[in-house]
Amino acid sequence: MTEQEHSGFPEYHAEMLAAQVESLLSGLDKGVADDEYREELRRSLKQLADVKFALDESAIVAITDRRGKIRYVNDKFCEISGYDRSELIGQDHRLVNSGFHGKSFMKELWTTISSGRVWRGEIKNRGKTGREYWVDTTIVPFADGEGHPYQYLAIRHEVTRLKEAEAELQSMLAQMMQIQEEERRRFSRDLHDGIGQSLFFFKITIDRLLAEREDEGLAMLGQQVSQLMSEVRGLAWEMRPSVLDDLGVVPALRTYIEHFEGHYGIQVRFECELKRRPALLAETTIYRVVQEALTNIGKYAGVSEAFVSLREIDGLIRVVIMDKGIGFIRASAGSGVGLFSMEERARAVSGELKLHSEPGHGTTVTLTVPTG
Amino acid sequence: MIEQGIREAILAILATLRAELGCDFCAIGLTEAPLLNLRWPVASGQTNERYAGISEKPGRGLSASVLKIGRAMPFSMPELLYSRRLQEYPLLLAEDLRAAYAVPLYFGHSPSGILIAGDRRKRVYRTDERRIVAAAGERIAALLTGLSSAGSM
Repeated sequence: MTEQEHSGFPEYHAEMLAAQVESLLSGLDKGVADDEYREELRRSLKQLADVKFALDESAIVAITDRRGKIRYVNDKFCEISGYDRSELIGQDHRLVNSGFHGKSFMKELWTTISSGRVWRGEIKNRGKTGREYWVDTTIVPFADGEGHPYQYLAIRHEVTRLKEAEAELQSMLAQMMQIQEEERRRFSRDLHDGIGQSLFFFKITIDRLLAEREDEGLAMLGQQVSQLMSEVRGLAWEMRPSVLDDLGVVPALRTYIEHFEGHYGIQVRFECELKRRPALLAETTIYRVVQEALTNIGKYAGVSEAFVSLREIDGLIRVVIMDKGIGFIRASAGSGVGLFSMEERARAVSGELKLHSEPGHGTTVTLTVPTG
Repeated sequence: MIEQGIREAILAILATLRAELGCDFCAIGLTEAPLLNLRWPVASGQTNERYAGISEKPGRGLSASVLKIGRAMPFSMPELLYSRRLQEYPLLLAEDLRAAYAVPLYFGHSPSGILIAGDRRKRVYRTDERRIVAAAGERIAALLTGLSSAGSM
């Protein structure tokens, strides 16, 4: 056997974890003469048997050789995978592979354990019946005298329900954000078309009266109504600019950036190479992420210049918001609610958000979304 | 626009105020017709030129506090941060002011401008210090009243 050649030891009893403990225990009286030594050995072997029992009771356990062939599985492994022990021994873990994890994931796993380090992570497997389940996994390599792993012990716990709850939470968050946008859209339209229109008619009436006769008080009222109209328009726009729905994210961002520059006194270099409008949800995500990232720049970066770019590359839209300001360390960046919501928004449209920041070297937020 | 002569006179008042108060930054803000945006035409002790580009919309920040109520008020960055209103005060952000004291400038009966004094460290402005700011505000308002009656307010 290759293992024997490799390790130089005659045999490892990997096929059954601690399988010979019982027979060793019963043969102790005959095999070991020294009373004290025998008693120590008995206690140690008993402990080993107990630990194995506890492990089998609590976890899904498997042992593979160094090429990944399964040499041992406990009852829990058989139970969750739906396979008989005889169907599993001699196979490798591709038997329960769900195909969920990419090649790079598996490569990373093997690189870690074959170099003698412990690997931890969550793996999605598929049982005999096709049922998919998630296991929280720890793989411990057992090394021979020269430090080369000769077998791997995998201890797993099922976390399917946890993963399902996680997925549900995420979908709830995505829904919540969409409901928020819809409410904002409705509220913005009501403000603009309802109160806004009424004020407009009010203003026209005042102007008509003023045309008939001069009246200082009425003129003042006219001015105040104009002021009120502009405030209502401003509120509606801040809530959700109708131009985002009507003309798309690029004109909406141009107006937003113009307002941003005026408000914070920060110049924004805006570059856009989009040829067509992204999907509506993607547009909302892009708009909100740029808004959030620029607000962070206005509040914390300490710069008088910022950069925003929109580009389409291979069916993906890449949005970059960058400053050369003071930067920050994520762990100490306040509550981080803004960052969290940007990430959630990106995920809700199957996009990705990356944040790079270094104290003294500014911050770059990169959002990638499918054009879809 | 403020005439060169008046601008220089205001700058001199701001410089004196900074020395008297020992504060880091002073500026005056004026509302601009027709939308009554608040802009900062004259400043002293600035660390960058962002203040000059700021144009605050009415109904928020200093417009909604000092100008609307017509009274002097102190501000502190932690308090604004806590009440989630910090982004309404771009001048404090641009100059990284941790504390500020703002008085309204009256042109006639209505407040149409602001004099603000601020520091890049935590500071509480004492009564006598507040009086110094108020007095400087009155001198500036007197200088600008001619401007206001000329119809640019």
